[in-house]
Amino acid sequence: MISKRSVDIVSSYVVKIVLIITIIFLFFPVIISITFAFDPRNFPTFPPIGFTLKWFENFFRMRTFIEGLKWSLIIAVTASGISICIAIPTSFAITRNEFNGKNILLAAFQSPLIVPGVVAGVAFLTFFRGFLNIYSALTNLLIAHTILTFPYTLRTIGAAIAGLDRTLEEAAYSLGANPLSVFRHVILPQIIPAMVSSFVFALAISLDDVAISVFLTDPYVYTFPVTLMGYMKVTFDPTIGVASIILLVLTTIIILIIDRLVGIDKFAAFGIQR
Amino acid sequence: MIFPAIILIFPLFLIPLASILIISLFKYSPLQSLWIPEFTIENYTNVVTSPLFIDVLISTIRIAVAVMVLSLILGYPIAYYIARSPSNFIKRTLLIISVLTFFMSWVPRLFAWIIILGKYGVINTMLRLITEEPIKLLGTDLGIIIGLTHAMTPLTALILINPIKNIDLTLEESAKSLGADNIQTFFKITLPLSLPGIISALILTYSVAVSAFITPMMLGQGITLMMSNYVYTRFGETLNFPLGATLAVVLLTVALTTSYIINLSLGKLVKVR
Repeated sequence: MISKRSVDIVSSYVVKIVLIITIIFLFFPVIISITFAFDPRNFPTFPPIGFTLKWFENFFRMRTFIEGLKWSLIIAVTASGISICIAIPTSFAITRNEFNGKNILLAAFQSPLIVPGVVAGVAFLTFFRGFLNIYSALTNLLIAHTILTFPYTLRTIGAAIAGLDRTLEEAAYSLGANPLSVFRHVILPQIIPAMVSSFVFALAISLDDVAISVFLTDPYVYTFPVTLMGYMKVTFDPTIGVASIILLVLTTIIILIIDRLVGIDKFAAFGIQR
Repeated sequence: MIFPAIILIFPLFLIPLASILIISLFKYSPLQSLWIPEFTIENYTNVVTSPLFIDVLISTIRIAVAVMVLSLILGYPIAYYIARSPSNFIKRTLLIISVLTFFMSWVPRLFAWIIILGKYGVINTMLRLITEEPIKLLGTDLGIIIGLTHAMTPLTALILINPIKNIDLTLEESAKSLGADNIQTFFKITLPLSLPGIISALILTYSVAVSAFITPMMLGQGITLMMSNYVYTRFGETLNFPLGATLAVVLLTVALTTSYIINLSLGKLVKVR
């Protein structure tokens, strides 16, 4: 019979090995994507040889990349902003009132999460072009990205508003404050961390989307990921590594902001629920 | 106060979804307009009887199930160590790796995986030391599974941290003091008590994987397709709106019903225990 102690020793080694393999599996691609932005060959193969900055030059010479990045940032910032502006009053309405059909509404508000991106893309394209006759890619992308980010902003801001201490508001009212100044001086300072963290989270979601956006772009307004998708299908060179580095830097900034405001461990426990 | 949200979701999202349900039943006419409002189920019979569609459907479900299981196996130990490790350094490092790879855009992720899995990639370069034959990973189900598992493992880990943290430590300790070894303690105490968390992680990873788009497009190289890619290529080739709408409705139905079936069967599993 195998002793309990030897079982424990063997099993703890097995778990540690699995853990180490997983860490390598997760982290290795991050290193690869950075290293190969500096590889001089047109088609990167392993192992990397040499060092060059020519792909950076190439990246910044490509007008479609710069334009795509510009449009992506415009769309992400605007859509996330609108999404938050809608999420705040909605959160008040659903946390402070009871009404019929509230659960149905809540499910409807979360529904963009369960619809595959391509399905949403086809639906937006068909409806906006075929029924509403909106041909502006910018308008369509803004609407789509606001909807895409709304479940996330609603959840984070909703939780912050549900956790507000209402006695503070009552105190302000009893001291003669009007609703507007209560919102500005009592409520807003308390929900700012949630607002900023859900804003940057929404940015990350919006900046990453291709499945919806690919249906809505036109030759004049296109997003960075859609440009990259088109580029990657035809040419696979280290210019994509440069784009990778830019996106990794953006991601890191987003993570640092969330960490400063709500703490990455708290966010991990709550915010990440697709 | 709730009206802006209602306007955003109902007329701009749910009604477009409902509209493709109707357009999927319309006739297609390339010469006149986007569609002719005459009802037909021809689009559906066209889609469902296509042999390629059946292949794509089966491999999509197979890939999503594999990704769901693999992400759990790889993600659970990470979550366990983040929840339970006595060392703050280990906790923090694992958390940072999980969060970074969770937030990582698909661009660096897939750029790296194409280099790693390619014919002259990292894996095949190492294999060449042992054998002559390179293995084909890009353009296969396995390549897509690897790429999607890389995206879903951090998500699984992050979801499982709290369910594992909430398990009462004294239960595990008393099992051990009564003579159970680590494996028995894990399968009799820790695993069953974290089952609700595991189930929500499984359903989430499945539903994200089944509708994956960019990962199978890049790692499948057009040779292996998943449902989303099939919808995109068929619709993009023809710009046949009724057909595109039909494909989208079918994808939505497949994604929702298979997730629901998995949800139900996992729910039964909990009840049996």
